[in-house]
Amino acid sequence: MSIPNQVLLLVEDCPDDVFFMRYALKQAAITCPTHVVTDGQQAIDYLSGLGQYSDRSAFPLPTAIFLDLKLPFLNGFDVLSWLRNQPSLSQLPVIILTGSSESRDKEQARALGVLDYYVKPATPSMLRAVMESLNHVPARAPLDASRF
Amino acid sequence: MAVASPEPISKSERDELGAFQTNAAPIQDPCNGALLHLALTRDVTQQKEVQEMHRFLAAIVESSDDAIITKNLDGIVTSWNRGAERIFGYSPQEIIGRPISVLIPPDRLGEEPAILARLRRGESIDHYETVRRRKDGTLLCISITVSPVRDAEGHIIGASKIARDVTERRSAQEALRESEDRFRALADNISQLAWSATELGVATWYNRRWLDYTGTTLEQMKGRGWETVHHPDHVERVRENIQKALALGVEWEDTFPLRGKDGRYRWFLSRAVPVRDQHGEIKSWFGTNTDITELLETREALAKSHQELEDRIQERTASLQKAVSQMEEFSYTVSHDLRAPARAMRGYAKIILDDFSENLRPEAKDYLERIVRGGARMDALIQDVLTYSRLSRRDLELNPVALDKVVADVIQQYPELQPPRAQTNIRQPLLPVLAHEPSLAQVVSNLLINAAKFVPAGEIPRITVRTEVRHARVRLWVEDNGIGIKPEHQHRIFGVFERLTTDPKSEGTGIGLAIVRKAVEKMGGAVGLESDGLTGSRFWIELSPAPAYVDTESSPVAR
Repeated sequence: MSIPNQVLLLVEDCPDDVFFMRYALKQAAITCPTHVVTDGQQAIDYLSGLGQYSDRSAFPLPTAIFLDLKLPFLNGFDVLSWLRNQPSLSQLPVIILTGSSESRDKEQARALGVLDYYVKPATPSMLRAVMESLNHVPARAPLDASRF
Repeated sequence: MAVASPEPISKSERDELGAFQTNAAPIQDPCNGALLHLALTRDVTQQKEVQEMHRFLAAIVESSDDAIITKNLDGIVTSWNRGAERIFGYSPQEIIGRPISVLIPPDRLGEEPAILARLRRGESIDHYETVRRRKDGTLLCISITVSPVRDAEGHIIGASKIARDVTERRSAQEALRESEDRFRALADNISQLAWSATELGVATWYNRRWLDYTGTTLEQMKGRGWETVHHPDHVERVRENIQKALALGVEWEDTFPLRGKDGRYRWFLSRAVPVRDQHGEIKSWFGTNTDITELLETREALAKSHQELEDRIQERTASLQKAVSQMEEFSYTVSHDLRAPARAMRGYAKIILDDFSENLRPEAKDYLERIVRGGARMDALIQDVLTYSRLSRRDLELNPVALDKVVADVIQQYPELQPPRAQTNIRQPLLPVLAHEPSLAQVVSNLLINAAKFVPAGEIPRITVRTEVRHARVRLWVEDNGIGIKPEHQHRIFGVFERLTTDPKSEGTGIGLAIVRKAVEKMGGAVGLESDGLTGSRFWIELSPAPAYVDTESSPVAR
């Protein structure tokens, strides 16, 4: 699948799940650059272009984020809340990819305006659906929180 | 003078100058023999007046309602008026000349010598109340006044006695006293302190209990003495309230402490009402003080124990909430972290199966498939345990739910409930129920999957779903053609981790039916099962009908 101009950021602390994500992307033939950070603080640093992430050519701003919820230091909701308060980043599409099927997590994520919510593991068909919907999200357009 | 009569004459005349008595008689003139008349006129004015006074006094005595009697110093009756006759029943003829002592009852005979002795000394006896006896023997209460009678020289020669029948007055007084005695007996023996005061609020009387409680005397308490047994912190307010009630003439009520003789204060609920005369004027106040110390202490103890209970409940609620939230955290962690290794296990095994299939021997593939199944089972177990524990600690909000839609959705979701793997027969209509929809969906899917799971080898599961109204509840039946459950095992089927099969392919977690029961009970319903252990099972759940369908039993829509 050819996805022009998409850059993905995966926020995931479990190496196995990172592996399964990359495996599923490969199986789905999604070839866009995918950067990985392993905790909430790193995600914020990356998105802010701070410290080791200051080089935007090496660490370009993503066009979509796959975000786990249970993370060391700052969790997924902390990252989401922070994101919603950054004027330049508040429209960035976020897809939750988590081990939790708890309804309270789904509700909280929905309240914070995410594009989609998936329970791990990532599968090729799921990723194809996500990339399809990303192509239909106009850049900088307000997010429709009722999509899922 | 025109006296022509040969007889002597006598004539009385009275004019404004006085009374005159004229006597006339004819006499022979000794000189010439002529008949002469001699007349003598006397002024009798004074004599007349005395006589009239006597008559007048006698008339007064006769007409008096009181007995007016005279007696000599020997106690012999010398005169007896009509009043005496009326009161004592003796006529003057019967009594005059007899001793006055006939009137005296035997137990009072000693009175007469004492009275006579005092009379001889010239003393009067004024309004002496005693008892005398009528002629017919009945006793009278009389009030007597006895005065000595003197002759012209001042010697005491007897006594006048005026007696008045006071029997009625006495009995009225008696009645009053009795009534008063009764009141006092009552007032002194009621459990309250009681008192009365003038219309101006000046205390005039206290009952025994007041005096006993305060250890004071009536003298000390009269007027404003009551203030001395009040608590200094309250007396000012009490005084003000009393003044208000007095000014307005309305009932007074207050609660305050009063000091007992032991120096300790007790609390009293105090009330006073104005007592009015027939014109509505306030004549006095009557008040009581009721000891409410125990009531207040009880109330206080109750409030204290209520507060303690409240505190304890809050404490327990807090610790329970803490436990629940710890439990939630635990579940959350389980949900995230415990499932991760199972996921990794399945994921890698699947990748090996997918990507390295050509390098694997059949046994290796079999083992890897077992790893995949084990991982799936572990994930299912974790999810079921989480579902069960969530149900245990949460309250479910109930709403009308279209059962037919829930059943259709569940069948849609699971290929093992659809042809060709199974035949599911829904007997419409399925009645709507009052339920928590996500939990009901879970219940229905667990029941249907359970029904499809335990068929004898070579048979296709045939499942029938239907509802009926029983005792104003909707009963959902899920009937299968499975192996059935023997009656002796049926009580275990809804327990946690109970599996009544040894078939390794059944892949149950042993929690599915426990979740069914827990969820249905949380929704106010019941679960059950009918099976002979040979020809399938008939599971049922009962829930309240959706409100609009309460009357479905008699409605044509119901069947």
